[in-house]
Amino acid sequence: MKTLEQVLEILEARIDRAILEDYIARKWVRPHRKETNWYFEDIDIARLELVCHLTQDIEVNDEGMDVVLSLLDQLYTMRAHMRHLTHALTQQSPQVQSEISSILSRLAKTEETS
Amino acid sequence: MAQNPYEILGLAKEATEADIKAAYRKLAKKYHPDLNPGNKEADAKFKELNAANDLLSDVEKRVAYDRGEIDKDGQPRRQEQPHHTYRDFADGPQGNRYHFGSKDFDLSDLEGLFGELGGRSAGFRQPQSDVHYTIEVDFLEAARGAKKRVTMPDGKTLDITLPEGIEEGQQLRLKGQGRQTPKVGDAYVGIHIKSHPFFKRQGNDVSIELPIALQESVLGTKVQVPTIHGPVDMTIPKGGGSGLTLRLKGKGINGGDQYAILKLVMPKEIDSELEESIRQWAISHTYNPRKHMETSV
Repeated sequence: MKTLEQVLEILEARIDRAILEDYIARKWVRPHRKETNWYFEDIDIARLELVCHLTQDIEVNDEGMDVVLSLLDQLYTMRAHMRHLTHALTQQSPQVQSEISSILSRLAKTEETS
Repeated sequence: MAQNPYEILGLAKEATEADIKAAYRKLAKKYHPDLNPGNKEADAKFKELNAANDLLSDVEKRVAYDRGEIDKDGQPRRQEQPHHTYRDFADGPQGNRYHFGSKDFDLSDLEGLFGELGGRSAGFRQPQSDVHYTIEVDFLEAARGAKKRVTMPDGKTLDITLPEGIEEGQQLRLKGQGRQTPKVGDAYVGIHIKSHPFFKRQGNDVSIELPIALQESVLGTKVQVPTIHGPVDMTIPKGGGSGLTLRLKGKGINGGDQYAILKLVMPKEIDSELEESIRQWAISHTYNPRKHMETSV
């Protein structure tokens, strides 16, 4: 875990304290709070870099950012669900697995034709 | 990877700094790995874009490249040091810090997922083995308990035992009476209780509005009062008027009580005999039942 000061150092000139605090206030990044200090996990720092990239390089505006992050969070939630589901499927017997894959390929075909 | 950085960004050698920035921004939007999770092609493309942008947006490096002093991988900082993108974490164990809804995965999420997907491709929906019904029952059946044979709209016949005092909205679970999918499901029967012409219910207590005649009110009498367990005798005390509530202990539901709230009903027609006798009575008996209101207003 890193403090806000350390995070500012890591990101060098890409972000200043006021902007970082604004991002936290907007809940775009959600570091841990202990007393009056913020503590950042690796994922918080990576997310912050993503937010910087989206705002500065791609010029996503504030409203757009809320939408983008919400969609991203939904996407990664869905990906986690899919991973769990896939994991659960790999625990099944080969017979069940092959049945499921034949159902899936049948579905893929009906989607194509419809 | 054989392309030069200008080609990668779709630019001519004469491109201005603004051109480079605009081209990079446009392509980065399209290929950003966080916006294309799982897409290896976009991943590779994005790395190329970054390398090309790093080189061309740095005036010194661009000049060096144009002069042929460095190749396109001249100083590819981003390619050499493994750079963790947000996705590496979002897909990792820390990812649930930013996930929607509950932090942990549970089976109900999966059901929701199946439900959402099922809207589009019906074949993927998990077969529901539990079935839900709602039945209407009479007030007295609910109050006293009953056994009922009910045919449901889907043609299924169920034998239902209503326990004494079942309440509005309660659900009965009939084990093993659902569909076989192949798991044997349960039937859930929601209870809707029809209202009764004169019995009302508050939990296990029953109340009834009991109309009484003028002479019954004045003189007192014995009347028969309906209860959910059949009629019982009850004494109306002399002078019992509208609003007087009499309790019949244990005549409610499950040992609850029944309350009879008296309601004085005047004769349909006030004939001269009644009128005259009250007039006579009133001469010597004045009383004001609204006296308590006068002082407080």
